[in-house]
Amino acid sequence: MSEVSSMSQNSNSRIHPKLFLLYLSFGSMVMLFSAFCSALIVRKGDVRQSWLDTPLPSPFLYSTIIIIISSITIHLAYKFIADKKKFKLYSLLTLFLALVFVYFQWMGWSELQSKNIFLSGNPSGSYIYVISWVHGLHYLGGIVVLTILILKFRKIQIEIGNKMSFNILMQYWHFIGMVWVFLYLFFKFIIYN
Amino acid sequence: MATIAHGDHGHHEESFLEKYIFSQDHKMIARQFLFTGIFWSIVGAAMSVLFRLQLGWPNETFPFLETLLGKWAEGGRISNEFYYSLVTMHGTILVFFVLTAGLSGTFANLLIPYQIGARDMASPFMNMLSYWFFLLAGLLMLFSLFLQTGAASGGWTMYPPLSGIRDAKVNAGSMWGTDLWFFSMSMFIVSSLLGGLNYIATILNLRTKGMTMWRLPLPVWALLFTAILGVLAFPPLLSAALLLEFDRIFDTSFYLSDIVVGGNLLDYKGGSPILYQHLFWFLGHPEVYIIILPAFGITSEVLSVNSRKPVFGYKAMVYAIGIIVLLGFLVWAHHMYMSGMNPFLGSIFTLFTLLIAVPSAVKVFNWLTTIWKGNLRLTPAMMFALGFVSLFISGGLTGLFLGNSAIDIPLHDTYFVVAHFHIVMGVAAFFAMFAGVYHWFPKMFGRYINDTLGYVHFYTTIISAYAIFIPMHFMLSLPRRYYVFSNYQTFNIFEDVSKFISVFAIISFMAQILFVVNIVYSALKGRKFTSENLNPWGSNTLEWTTPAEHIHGNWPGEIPEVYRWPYDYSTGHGNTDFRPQTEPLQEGEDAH
Repeated sequence: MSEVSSMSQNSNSRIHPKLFLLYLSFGSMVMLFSAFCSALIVRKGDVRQSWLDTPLPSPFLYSTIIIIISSITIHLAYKFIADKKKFKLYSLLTLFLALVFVYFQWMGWSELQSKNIFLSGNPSGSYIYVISWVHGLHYLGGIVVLTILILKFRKIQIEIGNKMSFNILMQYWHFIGMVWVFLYLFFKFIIYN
Repeated sequence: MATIAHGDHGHHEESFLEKYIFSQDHKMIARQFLFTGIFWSIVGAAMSVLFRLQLGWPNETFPFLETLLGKWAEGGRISNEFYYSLVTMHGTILVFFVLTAGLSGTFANLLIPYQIGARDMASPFMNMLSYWFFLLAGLLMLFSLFLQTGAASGGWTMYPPLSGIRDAKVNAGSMWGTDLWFFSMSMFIVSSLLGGLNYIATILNLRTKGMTMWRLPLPVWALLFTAILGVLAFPPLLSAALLLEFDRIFDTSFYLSDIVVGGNLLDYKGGSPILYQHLFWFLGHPEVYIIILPAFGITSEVLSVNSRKPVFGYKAMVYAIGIIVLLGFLVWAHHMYMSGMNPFLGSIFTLFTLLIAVPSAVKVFNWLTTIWKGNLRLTPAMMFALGFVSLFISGGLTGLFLGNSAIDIPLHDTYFVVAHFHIVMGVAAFFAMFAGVYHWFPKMFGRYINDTLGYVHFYTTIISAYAIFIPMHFMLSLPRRYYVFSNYQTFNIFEDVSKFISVFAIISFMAQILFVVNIVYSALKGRKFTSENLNPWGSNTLEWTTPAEHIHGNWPGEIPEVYRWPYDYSTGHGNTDFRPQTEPLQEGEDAH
C-alpha cells in the first residue's frame, strides 16, 4: 500500500491513520458477521420451514483453543519485535498455530460430511459451512500477511514503520480470533445447542 | 499538475498512466468517478427511454428497435423478457452506479480533502482501488448486457426465489446474467467500503489547523454520515448476495424451499425467501440515505453561497442528518409490509418511518429559511439546488402515505410508489448532483461551464421531471410491473397519460445529452478559470483558496489555517459580503 497521507502534515489524530482505518474496517466486518448470525437466528426461529438438528463438529473446540493461543503468541512476537531470535520464535509459532487452526477447521468440515451433513442439505448445516468459510477467508488474509512480514523481517532492521505494520496485523489477528471465539460460542450455546 | 509541488514526496514527473489512469490524486479520481457515472447515467436513462417506448405505445412497433437490439426486439417490439431486463438494469445502474458511486464518489473525492484542508485522502492508494473496483463492477455489469441468455431480469432488488434459481426456464437472465449481477455487486460493495473507510479516516484525522468539527462545511458532514452508513450497511448486502449465490451455484437452501419449475419439484428444502428481503433492505433503506445525504450537503452549500446568507440552523442541519442516519437503520421493513409481517412489528416500523419526517422537515425548513430574504443569485447551480428543495418536498410528502403500513398495502407496487421514489431520491438527487457539477465545475476542469445551456438544461429537466412523475401519482390503481397494461380493459384509461409520460421521458433524456455536451464543450472550450479570480462565487470554503491549476497536494505552500465557520455571509464586517474561513476574526466580531 502506498503512503497513508504522510504528505499531509496536519494530521490531528493520536493514532496512526492506517490503524484508524483498520478499526473502522472492524465495524464493517462486525456488520458482515452480524448479518450472517441474524440470518441464522431468524431462520432457526422460522417455524414454517424445516430445521434439522445439526451437531457442531467437535474439532471446532480445538480450533477455538488454538486461535486463542495464537493470539498470545503473536502478541509475544510483537513484544519482542526488536529481538530477532525471540521474534522469529514467536512469529513462526503463530504461523504454525494458524496452520493447525486451518487443519482443525478442515477436520470439522470433514466430520460434518461423515455425518451426511453437506453444504447443500438443510440450511442448519449449510450455515456452519458458509460462516466458517467466510471467517476462514478473513483468517487466510491474516496468514498471508503474517508470512510476508516474517519473510520481510528476516532481511531488514525493524523500524517504526515496520513495527506499525506488525502492530496492525496483530490487532487484526486478535480481532479475527475474537470473531471466531464469538462464532463458536454463538453456535454452541444459541444455535446448535 | 505534472509535478508534486510539496516537500514530502520530492519532485517527479508523473507519467500519463500515473496522471490519468492509475491516479492517486483525489481530484483526478473525482473526475474519473464523474465520467464513469455520466457514462452509466446515459446507459441507464437510455434503458428507461426504451421501456417507456413500450409503455407509451404498447401495441406499436418500432423497426429501429429490431435493428438495434436484434432478437430482444423482434418485429420492432421489445420482448417481455428484455423489458424486465431493462427495468432491472435501469434500477441497478441508477441506484448504485450513478446515484451512489457517481454522486458520492465524485463529490467525496473532490470536496473532502479540499474543504477540510488536506493534501489528499488518508490513503490515496485505497482511494484509487475504490475507483478501480467500481470500474470493474461496471464492466461486469456491462458484459452481462451482451449475454446471449440475457442480463439479469429479476428486478433490481433480486428477490428469491425468482433470482435464486439458475434455470433458463425461470426467466431470461436467470443464468449468467444474474450471476454477473451478483459478482458485479460484490465488487461494487468492496469499492464502497474502500471509499467509505477512507472518507471517514480522512475527515476525522486530516483536518487542517483550526478546522474543528463544528467548522466543517455541510457537504463534508453529509459525506461523513454517508460513509458511516455505507460501511455499516453494505456488508449485510454482501452476506445476502453470498448466500443467494450459494443457493444458485451450490444448491443450498438458504432462501429456497419447495419450488416447482416446469412441473418438476426442485430439491430445495427449508429456505426462507423473506430472509433475503430483510438482509437486502437492511442495506436497501440506508442506501436511499446514502444517495440523498450528499445531495443534502451540496444543496445546503450552494443555497447558502448563492443566497449570500449563513445556513440557517447549521447545527440543527448536522443533528438532523445524524438522526436520519440512526432512524435509517430502523425502518428497513417498511419495504416489506406486503411480505407478511406481524402487525405489531408493522406499526413499529411505521412509527420510525414517520419519525424520519421530523428531521427531514427540519432540513427543508432550514433551506427555505436560508434563502428567505437572501440576495439570491440564480446561477444554474442555484436553480438546481432550488429544484432539489422543490422535488424533495414533493417526493417527501408522498413518503408519508407509503410509510404508513395501512395505506401502503393498497398503494404497494403501483405507479404511486414509482412516482414517490423517483422524485424524492432519483430526480432530487440528480438535481443536487447537477447543482454540484455547475457550482464546482471551475474547480474540477479549470474552465467555466456555459450558463445558457445550463438554464436550458434546468428548465427542460424540471418541467419534464414533473410532467413524468406528477401524472404517475394518479395512476395509483395501475401495478408498476405490467409489460402491456393495455391488455386489461380497466387500465385503458391510462393509455394517453402513458404516452404523455413517455414523450417527456424522451425530452428529459435529450436534455441530459445537452448537459453532457455542455460539460465536454465547456471543459475543452469554456471561459478559463484563472488566478485573477480564484473565488468566483464569493465562497468561504477552503477549496477556493487553492490555485486555479490542479497541483498534487492542493496548496503550493503551507495548508491554510481556519479561524471561523464556513457560512459567514453578509455579516456586516469587512468590505465584502463574505468572510473566508481563512480570515481571522476581526475585533468586535463574534465567532459563530
